[in-house]
Amino acid sequence: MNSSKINIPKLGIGGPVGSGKTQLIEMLVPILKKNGFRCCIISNDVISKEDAQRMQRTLATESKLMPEDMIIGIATGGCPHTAVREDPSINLAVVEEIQQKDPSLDLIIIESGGDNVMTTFSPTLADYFIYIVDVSGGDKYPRKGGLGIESCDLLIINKTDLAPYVGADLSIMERDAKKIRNNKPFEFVNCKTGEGVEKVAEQIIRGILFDREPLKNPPSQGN
Amino acid sequence: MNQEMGWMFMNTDYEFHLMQFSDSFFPSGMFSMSGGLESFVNQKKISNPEDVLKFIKEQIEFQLIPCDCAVLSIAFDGIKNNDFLKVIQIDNKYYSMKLSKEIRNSSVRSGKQVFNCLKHMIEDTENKNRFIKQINNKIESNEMPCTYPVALAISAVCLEIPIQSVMRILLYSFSSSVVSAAIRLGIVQHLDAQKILLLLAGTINNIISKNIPKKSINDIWQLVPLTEINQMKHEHNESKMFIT
Repeated sequence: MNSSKINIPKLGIGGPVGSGKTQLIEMLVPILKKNGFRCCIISNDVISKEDAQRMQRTLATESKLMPEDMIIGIATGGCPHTAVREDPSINLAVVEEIQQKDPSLDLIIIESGGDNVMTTFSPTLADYFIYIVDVSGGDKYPRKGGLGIESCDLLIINKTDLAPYVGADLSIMERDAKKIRNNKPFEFVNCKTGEGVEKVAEQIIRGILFDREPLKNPPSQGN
Repeated sequence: MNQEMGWMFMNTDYEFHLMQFSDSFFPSGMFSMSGGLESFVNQKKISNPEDVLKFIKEQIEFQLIPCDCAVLSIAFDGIKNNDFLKVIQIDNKYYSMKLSKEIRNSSVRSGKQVFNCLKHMIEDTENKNRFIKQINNKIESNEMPCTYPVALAISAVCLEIPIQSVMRILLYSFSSSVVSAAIRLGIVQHLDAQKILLLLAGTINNIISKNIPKKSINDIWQLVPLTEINQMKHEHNESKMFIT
């Protein structure tokens, strides 16, 4: 198999620690699966493979939505930005291995932590970039901009249920997100309840999968 | 000399490529490796700049010189002489000698990315491209894994970097990645790190200035059992900062 000729669409998901990246993926995968799309997940982590191991448990062992070996953790050597932005070599190497292993996958999701100022994905690594923040950082978050908030294809504002408790005004966040992103899309979500996640999945199917059919028919279980 | 390979030995202006390949900005993913240091630091067996210097010197003496540099040298000669069989053999030998899975995998991942970068850099050069395609076919048919020292040897021959210089890149890149890992692990400060590299320069230059004896594939060895045991332990750590 000539892996260099295979090009499975790659979705980058970045965001600060605790913003809900892993939970977003845990919510997205079942929706994509329901639509027949088969995914692989690469989880970049600075200090552990905890997120990857959690998804192996929730998405593979418990719900059997995907095989365990399709959720891969990468230790990034202390700099997640470098691993997805200026030197994505290790991530690209893993992508190549996945493409060779299962060329019929529909999507590779690459997760990485990173602050709003510096985080972006190398276009070589990700075809579509989602940046996720949460309301507990305050309603100033979208207004402050930064590479992540401004350059992403889709901005997600998570944990909307916490807004009243942290004094965050969602209308201010909506106004600022529209302004700073020049009307590029954003979505309010609550990954705990799943509210708004269907819309994110629709954006992914439209924006990166171009509304095409899944490469394989959805199997009933596992692979 | 094979006429097809004649393009390889005309250029003496290789210094730029030398700097390019030894720059930490060069895409190889080496920043995410500590060469086994993280495990030693976690066990508090290495905790200060002196320990780091000693660790790197030992790895150079008992691993990089007898194994990595020897592999580099043999692969370099093999490519120069269009001896693909030798290149494939040495690549597989190196892969089989690395006992820790994460060391084997990371060497192949870095090696393939260095090779991909080389392909991209010289894709407009027709005769070089033909040579690269031959190697590429061997990698894609799984005849050779494309480990880091072999990928470096391929790059050096294509970009006309002399063997002594590419050996310096190999030793410097290893030393630099371990020293920067030491900074991130908090046992070395940034100025001490430069001092360690300076002190290593003497060792590295001394090795390279000697006539490196030509080795056969069967002469390659390495003896770093404690490092290998720690690398294997590192593979199973729940929490870690570095791939190796």
